[in-house]
Amino acid sequence: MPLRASHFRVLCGYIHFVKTIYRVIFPLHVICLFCLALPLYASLGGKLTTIESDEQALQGQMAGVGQAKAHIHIQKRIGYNLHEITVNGTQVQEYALPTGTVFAVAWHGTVEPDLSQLLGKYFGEYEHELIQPQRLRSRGPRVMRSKNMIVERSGHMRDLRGRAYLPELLPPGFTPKDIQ
Amino acid sequence: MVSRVTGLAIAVAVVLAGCSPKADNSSVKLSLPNTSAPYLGASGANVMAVHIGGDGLCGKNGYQNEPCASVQICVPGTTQCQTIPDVLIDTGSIGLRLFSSAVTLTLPSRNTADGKQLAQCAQFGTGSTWGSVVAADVILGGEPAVTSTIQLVDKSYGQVPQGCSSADSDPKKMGYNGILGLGYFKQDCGDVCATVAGNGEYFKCDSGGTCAGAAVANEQQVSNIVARLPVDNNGVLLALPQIKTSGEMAVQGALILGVGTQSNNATGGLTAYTVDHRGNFTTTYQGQSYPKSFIDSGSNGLFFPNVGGIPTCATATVGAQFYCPDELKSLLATNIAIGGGLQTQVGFLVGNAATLAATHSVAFNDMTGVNSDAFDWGLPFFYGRAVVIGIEGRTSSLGTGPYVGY
Repeated sequence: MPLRASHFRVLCGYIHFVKTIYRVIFPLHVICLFCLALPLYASLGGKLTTIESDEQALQGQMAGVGQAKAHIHIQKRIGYNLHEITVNGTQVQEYALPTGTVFAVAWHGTVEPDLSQLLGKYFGEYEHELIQPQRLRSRGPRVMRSKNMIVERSGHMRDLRGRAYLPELLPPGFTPKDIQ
Repeated sequence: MVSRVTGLAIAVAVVLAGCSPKADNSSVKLSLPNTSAPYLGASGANVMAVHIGGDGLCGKNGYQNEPCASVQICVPGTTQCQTIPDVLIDTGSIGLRLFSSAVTLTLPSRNTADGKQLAQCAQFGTGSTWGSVVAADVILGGEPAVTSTIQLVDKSYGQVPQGCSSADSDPKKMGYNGILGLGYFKQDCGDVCATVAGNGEYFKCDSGGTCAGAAVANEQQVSNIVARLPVDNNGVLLALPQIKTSGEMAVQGALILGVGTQSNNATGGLTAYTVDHRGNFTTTYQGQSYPKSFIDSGSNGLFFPNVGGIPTCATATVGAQFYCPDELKSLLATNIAIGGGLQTQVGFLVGNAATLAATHSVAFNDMTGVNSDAFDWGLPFFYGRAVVIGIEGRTSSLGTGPYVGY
């Protein structure tokens, strides 16, 4: 079912509702560190609704006192939707199928978002690949292929970047180059 | 008729030339850079010896293209000092990080106002270091000691946050006793870590080892040692000799502190290229533009996007992270400074990484691999060059930082 403007109104309404609830329940979230440990839904491989929890996680993580607002930008592309969340210079992008399943994520910032939140149930695969011995040591960017996922890390201190995607879930015509 | 045939042949040749990759074996005539010579014999209080290879922890027991030097640390304000050898020279990060297992001194911890100890999960392009944040007097070369905030790397310290679950473990496994970050900035994180408690980098830990995110003022963050020097504080110049394409077992270079501050670090033949607030500039290659490109002595290869169809190495050899062309390739890219469009063409070599790895050499100017989103001009770029890193806000004979000069 193609997404229409009415769906976005519903979605935006939902995001607003969730954010309002969040603010009511956790008015101290800008300084409340246990919020980071709240059980949140997985992101990569998860459903659209997890994007809101990611937004809150990133907002909870990255909010500075008095500058708590996350900027969310939603774009409808052919065959997928792109959600961008930016808080205090750290940007997260989530690529979702029309069914709502997140098939790719990318991040970029001075500091790193919580990858356990962003990679969700695939975080364990990522951690496993990170510690695998390499036949030729690569100190620099890494491309890691785990069972279900490809994770790439690049950049350097103060400019940390990466992306992860599930090759089997990429929509027709979508290539990893489309993940910016 | 003859002229028509000739014309056709020329047209075909032109089309073929246009279609074929710019690099083939016949074009391996790259004149390798050699601007480092005047700096290699430098002596003075502002010079540190840099080595690649050799019998130490870096080198035989480390990994390929790993530039290292010694640093001296002291308990602040005392003469209790210790020299730490085999510290990675890394222009891609900021600040000094030493494995606590390599440090015998007792260094005072940096604490928050509420008496908790600061710790850090420092993130690099790949990899991370976890451990407490302490104060030390640091001596680089023959420069005066400067009191700085440094990191004591220790994976057994307190409660390791998720972002550091695979952090550097120990000197033997990592191939270095620590990392000396000599990047463009005065602190390793900056304003984000000064205002955001959940920055993922800085933590405060109680005596029971429980840690929580902490905002840390810029002046309390792990700092660029060079920026704190009394005189040679506007940047560094790393000079490495040119080497054989087949690789070398050991290479000696010089890290000169300061830019245009002494007779040994004049910048006559060098040009400065401004970088952005993250330390990046644009590299164009095969018609594509990569605005997040950077220069990094701590990257052990030259990593770039595979738009030219270069074969990657087999999993059975060194893996698809590296390039393994059948024959040595010579390629060209263009680096463009931020603002003003100052640009320069840079040639580079692509060797077969599996073949290189099978030798006993450890220094290679043609070890390359894959990076999808940018050029990471790692150590191969540095051979034969004098490369200057200009610190933010500091002025030298090359200009005002942040810039890279070569």
